[in-house]
Amino acid sequence: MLNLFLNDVFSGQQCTIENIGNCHFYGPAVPVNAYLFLAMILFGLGAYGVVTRKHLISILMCMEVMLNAVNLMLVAFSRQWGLASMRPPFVSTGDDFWVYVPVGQIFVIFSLTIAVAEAAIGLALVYHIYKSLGTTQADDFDLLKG
Amino acid sequence: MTNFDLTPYVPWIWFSFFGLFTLVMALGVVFHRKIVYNAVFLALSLVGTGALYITLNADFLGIVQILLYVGGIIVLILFSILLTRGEERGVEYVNRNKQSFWAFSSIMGLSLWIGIQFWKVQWPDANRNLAANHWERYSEIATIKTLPQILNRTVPVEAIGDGLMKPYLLIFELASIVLLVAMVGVVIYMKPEKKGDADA
Repeated sequence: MLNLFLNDVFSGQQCTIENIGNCHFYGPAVPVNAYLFLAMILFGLGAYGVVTRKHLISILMCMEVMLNAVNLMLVAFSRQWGLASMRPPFVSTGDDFWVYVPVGQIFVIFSLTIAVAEAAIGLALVYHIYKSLGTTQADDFDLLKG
Repeated sequence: MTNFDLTPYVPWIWFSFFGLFTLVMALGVVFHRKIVYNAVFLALSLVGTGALYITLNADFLGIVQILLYVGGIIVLILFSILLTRGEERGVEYVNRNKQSFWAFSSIMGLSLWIGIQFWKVQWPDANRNLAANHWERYSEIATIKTLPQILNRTVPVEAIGDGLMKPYLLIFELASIVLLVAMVGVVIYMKPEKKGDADA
């Protein structure tokens, strides 16, 4: 039974009953609903952290948790609808073939880019605020008498 | 040892293990009071999310996630924590009060409700529908037999590269411009002030 857990995670082998030792995703796949549920819980946790945390870097980290939840949703949808049947172009006969259309994963790459830019700018802002005001607690920013 | 066959549940086991790991580490990010621990919890949560990507047949994205987040953003966050911690020693003020309780119950209730709605949805399975149509039309052709094997494989990186270079090329270039603008903005913003400027 231990072999079932210690098999090669990165083996891209076909999953049949013969080479079950090399295959880690044999069996009915986990439905996309489970991933969406988990992502919603993660998103709510991150939103709660953004609302209640007071250290600026903590707020940024909770925003990273929210971004990850959205990325998880995108990848789950990409697995669900990431295959398309296509006809060979300009040919009236011939078999259809299956192509991967991983739009969700491509969007996750863009989202990662935006997340990196956001983290860099946000942390630069935090450092600048710390230099000018001497604190990083969000309650101490009362220049506008809020 | 019983003779119980565990093989149909292996994807569920992977999913629940990594999902619980990610969830517990996100709880640590949100609720732990020491901010360096928050960063470490965030790194572990991101690793768990990368593992979830791998269970979703997106190996490339899992590796990119670990490289980019844990190797880049976490290091950036740790550096800025070390640069900005002052007399409070990284421990923030107590933020538990009635408002935080109501915020927690309302936000988590809303997200739980949306999650339950997601759970109840019967998604139209595009792949299965395509397979069914294919089966109806070409049931005598043997290529259909390879479909479950295709469905269980990881998405090749070539497909992602094709998507990035062909239909989403404009967004790709715009993302690079966004990164460039962010980099230039941060450099200008963090430039030390001249002596003539009075206040920041």
